[in-house]
Amino acid sequence: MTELRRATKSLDTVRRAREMLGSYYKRAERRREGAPLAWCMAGVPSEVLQAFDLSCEWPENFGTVCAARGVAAELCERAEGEGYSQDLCSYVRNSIGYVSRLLELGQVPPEAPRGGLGTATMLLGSGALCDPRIKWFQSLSSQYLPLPVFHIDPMSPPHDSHVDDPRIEAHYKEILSETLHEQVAFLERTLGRPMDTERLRAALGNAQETIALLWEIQSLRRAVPCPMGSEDFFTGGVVPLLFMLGERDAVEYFRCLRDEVRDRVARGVGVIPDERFRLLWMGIPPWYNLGFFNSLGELGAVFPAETSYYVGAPVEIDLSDPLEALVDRTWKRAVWITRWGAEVIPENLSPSGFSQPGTRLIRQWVHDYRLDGAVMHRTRSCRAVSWGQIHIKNQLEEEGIPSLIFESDMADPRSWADTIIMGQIQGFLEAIAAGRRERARAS
Amino acid sequence: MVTAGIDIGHESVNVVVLHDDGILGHATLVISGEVGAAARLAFETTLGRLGVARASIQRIFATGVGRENVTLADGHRTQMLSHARGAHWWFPGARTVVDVGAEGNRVMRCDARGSLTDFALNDKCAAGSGVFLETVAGMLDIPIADMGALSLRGSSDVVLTSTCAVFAESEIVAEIHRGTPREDILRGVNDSIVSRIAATSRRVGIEPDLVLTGGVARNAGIVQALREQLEMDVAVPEHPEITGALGAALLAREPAGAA
Amino acid sequence: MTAEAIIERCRDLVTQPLGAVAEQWKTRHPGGKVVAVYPVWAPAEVIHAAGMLPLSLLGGGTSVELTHADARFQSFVCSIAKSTLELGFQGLVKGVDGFVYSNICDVARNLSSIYQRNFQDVFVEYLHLPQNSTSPSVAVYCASELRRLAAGFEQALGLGVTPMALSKSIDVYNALRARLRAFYAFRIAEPQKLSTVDLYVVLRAATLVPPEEAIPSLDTLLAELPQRSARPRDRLRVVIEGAFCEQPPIGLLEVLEEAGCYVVEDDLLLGWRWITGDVAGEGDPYDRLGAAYVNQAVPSSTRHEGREHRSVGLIEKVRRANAQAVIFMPAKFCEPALFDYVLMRQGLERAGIPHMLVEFEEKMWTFERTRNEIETFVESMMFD
Repeated sequence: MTELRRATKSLDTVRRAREMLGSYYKRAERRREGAPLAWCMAGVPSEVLQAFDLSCEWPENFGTVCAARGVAAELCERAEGEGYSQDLCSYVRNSIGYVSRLLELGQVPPEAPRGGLGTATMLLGSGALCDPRIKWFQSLSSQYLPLPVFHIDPMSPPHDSHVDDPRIEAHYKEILSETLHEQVAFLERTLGRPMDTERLRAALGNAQETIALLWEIQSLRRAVPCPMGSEDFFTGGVVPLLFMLGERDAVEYFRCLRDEVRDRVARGVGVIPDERFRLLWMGIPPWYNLGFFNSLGELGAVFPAETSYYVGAPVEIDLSDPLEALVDRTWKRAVWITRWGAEVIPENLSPSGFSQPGTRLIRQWVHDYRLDGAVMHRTRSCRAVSWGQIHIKNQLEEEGIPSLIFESDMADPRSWADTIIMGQIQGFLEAIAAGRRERARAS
Repeated sequence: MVTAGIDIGHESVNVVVLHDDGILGHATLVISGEVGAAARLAFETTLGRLGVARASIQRIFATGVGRENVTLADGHRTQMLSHARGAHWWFPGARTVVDVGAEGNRVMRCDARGSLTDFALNDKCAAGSGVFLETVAGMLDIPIADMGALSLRGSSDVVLTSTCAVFAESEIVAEIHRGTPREDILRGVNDSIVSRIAATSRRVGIEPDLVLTGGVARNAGIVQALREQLEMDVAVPEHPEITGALGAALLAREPAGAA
Repeated sequence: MTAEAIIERCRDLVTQPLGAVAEQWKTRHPGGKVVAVYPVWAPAEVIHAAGMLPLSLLGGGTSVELTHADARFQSFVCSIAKSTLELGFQGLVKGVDGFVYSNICDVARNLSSIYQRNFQDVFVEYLHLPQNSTSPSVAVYCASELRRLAAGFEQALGLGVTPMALSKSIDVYNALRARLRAFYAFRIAEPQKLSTVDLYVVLRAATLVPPEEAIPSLDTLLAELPQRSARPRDRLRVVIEGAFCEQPPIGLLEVLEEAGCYVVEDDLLLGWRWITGDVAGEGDPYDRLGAAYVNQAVPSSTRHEGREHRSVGLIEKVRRANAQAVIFMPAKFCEPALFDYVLMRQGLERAGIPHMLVEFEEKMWTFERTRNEIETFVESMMFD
């Protein structure tokens, strides 16, 4: 019997996310018929969209919402019926199933959560992070929504590049700058108005604050007991970080979150009362079963750190030329990650500011977060993120901690085999406990 | 004109003798081994039972695995063509034919003449097949012939999620240990098999009338689950296991020639 | 040498481990270096201009057991990635000095870093090729990537590339590609005289020897093949689409033909046929090659194609080859192929061109099920 459930959040701020982040959560109510609206991918910098005051929807986030609301399976099935293989990304299949239904009905399907996605007037893609992206909006626009598409194409340096060599830097920054300028030009053409440079500057300033606050929060999570677990990050951190970076509301939200986490640390309040296992989470979570983290909480496991949607240390940027500042931020961040070991994340250069941590950093986290082990989600339809798990597992073994890799999917619940997975988890935790007993006996 | 169709199956051979007015007779023989010899034995046994002389058969077509090695046949056609044609002969309104065989499931689309227009085979593994059902029968210690009726008494509490037959078996073991009633498990198994069939069907689209063929069509639980999941009526021939051989015999009548 | 003898030699060459091919060339060219290129596009000109031998790196096919590589990958990953790694572990590419990968998909790009980690005594480079076909600077960026590649060769292998050498290499590969196009045109015209299996081994062999050797052999074949006496048979003329990276086993190609098809067009070894005509332009050869990659390319599933519907190129191919149907043949788990399949299928339906889909794995060695599917398709088109 499957037991898929939503997450129980432990932080007040996270519970209040919907009211604090109204510009995102209430956007369905604010839709205006016929107004310009872009469907965007992660990787497209939200600051630029804000500079145009452009309404957006994020189909991959919609995939996570559909998963959480239990409708992703049928939407994926619909896409499969139209020829899309079950091996392809489940966010893509979900969005295609949705669009197919939308076109069939001529209106938002009744099963679509939160009022579905607004009517797109353009599609903004990005090649950052993974390869299906280059095919996704190509498929969507060719087959279902013949809309203007612009696809930014940021190129990441190979992980062994000499990123300090100014020629290497120039080579990659040139194309990055070009692609972002082209995006701006596309938006100016399509919307018939120039970008508001002041708004971009303000958004980038806000983003700096958000990133700094997040950096602090991640640091605070090192405390024992852990004040904030992965489930809170996934339910309460991902949306403002990925889709609202640059907005004032997101800054205030993260400030509030930082304050709450700081307070918990001061008072010694943890996510679970009896913390027996501190684990690293690696991979995209099973969005249709975030309650999984609470199930593990019941077994005494907490996740003080996750590799997903990782931003890293804030970098200094000069906001006098905001678009160049965005280029600079993107590059500096990629360099930072590369220095921390980017051999399993070839696509670490992302204008929207996040990717994954480097290998050496993850090893460092074993000590920083006092980790006992790692749980890795091998997502069947996402090769990009599930890649590197074996390598990291080997690296973590060298740091003395074991890892469990289990298989399912991020949005497609049909792949969740509860008995098998929970069996593996329980065995894993028992093995960690047994290892501890052995070491105690030996010493 | 009298023709014959020979269908080489997983463990048995089906033979149909067809004349202008309909099926003269048919037989299912549990024979395996070298295909040519098995086909010959089945064919001759069938003729013997029907009292039909070999000389009165104008053309013989073979289908199934190893069909090209049936030397006594004048030609051969694939199972998909044969099943579509056979199912359509019984149900002229048939436009979608589902065959759940030993190794997997197949979905055929045909036109008003029973000609194959599209088809899909099940994708990844055995979890949608007759062999899987046999395994389950063994695990639950139930005769295969009883599985259908028993499953109809089951509730829908058991949901098997694994796309892989090996994992599905683990899930079933877990249910058995939990003391779950066998009819509930069987119902879950049926639902799981049928969801694989539904997935295969969606690749070619489903148009009524829908016909289920192959030995598994005798499992009333599978038929019921198919009706529920696809939300449409499912027609089952009286002798679903001879559909392929019937189709081959029909195809043998056509002037398009031997392969 | 006769056509038959050439084909036989090609057949033999393609079964040899890549390392052995490299070593054999090296005995004839002492001090020479060999660089293998993973699909799709092979910047063979740049390698050749450095005086090195470019070879196609196409995985282990049916010849290697994945004893080491399997443990390093998820299960839902194409076989060619695993077998390519396995070749390294089993020492079957010993003799190859460098490997070039590019960003055709997440699997390939990650394979590049796995190779680097595990085989540190060879040169491994990763080309990040651009996706946006319409951006003005894309060709420039691509040219820069090629310069970066050449600089890498110089630093790691001590062999530089001069613009003059690169221009000459472009000419040589133009000549090779012209022969390959002629080969394909011949098969379209008289498929009964050139089986797909024969075409394939010749094509693949041409990616395993210097172009200077391949060209005269191809010329001989092109002169002699028309002399073959063979009657055209009543078979279905098909285009196969999807095998642009992982290569189908020869047994599968045989099954296609036995099932009643003439394969008249395909995308096998597409990357070695990438540039559709002679490389255009004058002046800096890197710029010319970078521009050719972007603007003179065959349509490919590993690129974001916004300029025209993905099916347009396929339909043109079908018409040009006078084909009756398309058989989509993607490798299992191949994301780019599985994505574009839907778009191409949609276009074919609109154009009324019959099609079917059958997935393959390079290491298949039984073909019953695939043969069944293809035969069904052929039968339904010819007899039903």
